[in-house]
Amino acid sequence: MTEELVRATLKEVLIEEFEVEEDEIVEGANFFEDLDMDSLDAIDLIVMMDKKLNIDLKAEDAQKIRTIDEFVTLIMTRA
Amino acid sequence: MRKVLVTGATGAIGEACVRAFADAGYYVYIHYRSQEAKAQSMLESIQNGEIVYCDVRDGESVKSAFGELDLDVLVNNAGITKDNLFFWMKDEEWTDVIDTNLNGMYRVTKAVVEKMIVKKNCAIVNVSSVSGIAGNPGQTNYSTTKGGIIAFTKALALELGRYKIRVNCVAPGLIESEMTESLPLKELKKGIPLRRIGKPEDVSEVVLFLADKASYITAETINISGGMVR
Repeated sequence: MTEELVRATLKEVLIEEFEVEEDEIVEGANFFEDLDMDSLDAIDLIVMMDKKLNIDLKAEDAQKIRTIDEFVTLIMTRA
Repeated sequence: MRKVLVTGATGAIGEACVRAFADAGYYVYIHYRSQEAKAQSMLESIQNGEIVYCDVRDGESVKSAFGELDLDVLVNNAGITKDNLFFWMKDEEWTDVIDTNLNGMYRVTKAVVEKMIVKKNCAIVNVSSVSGIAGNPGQTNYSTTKGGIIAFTKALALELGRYKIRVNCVAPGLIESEMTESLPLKELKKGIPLRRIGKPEDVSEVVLFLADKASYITAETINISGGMVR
């Protein structure tokens, strides 16, 4: 799995499921401060990415991610 | 086929819930702690299901029994009473009831909820009691847990709603069961507007409704007491 695929999938999920504006999805964007998400959204995001990419993410991983980059890095270590 | 776990399934209300879900076409996990023979006999009378042993007071037992179940519905029904007037209540009577009824519900729900979040369109029904709404002398421990179950239901419903998981609660009054057989039922009926003791099926049909039909109801507690508690 490439990082590009992960970023593209994440972008698609954020736009379609969390109504995030495309121009807000930038490197270093913070899910909670910049994208107006909360911890329950983070769990949902983890679950959706796990389903889409078929990787080994757990709901508890939601506590480890704050930014898009951190999340992409986490996914790449599990892929 | 939709799957349901009924905890405390060998009690009167649990057994009625098992039959109601089985009749509705569910695969039923029949949880028991001490009554294996009864659980086995219940299994033989339904179409699809299995019996599952677990002590809800033991976190590891709960995880190993329920952690891999892929449920659509959880019915948190396991509970005990150890009644005593508060003045005479022993520490173990307090802690045993809290640990089974309240902490047990926490452990079971925690063990299964992640898979429900992934699955979505699931339901949890918690079995409380009118003791948790109105209190009952001799049951400070039990009433505490049953009131806690109502509050837990509301808070958890707020968290899980976005994952399309509904969380509701039933609060039965006097229901024919091993818990009520020693009570002076004839006298107690006078305080019930419907003038009868409830049957386990009076509860299980509401549990099934909340789990299976009530698609826009969550965070709710339905009082099933024949009007005894308002």
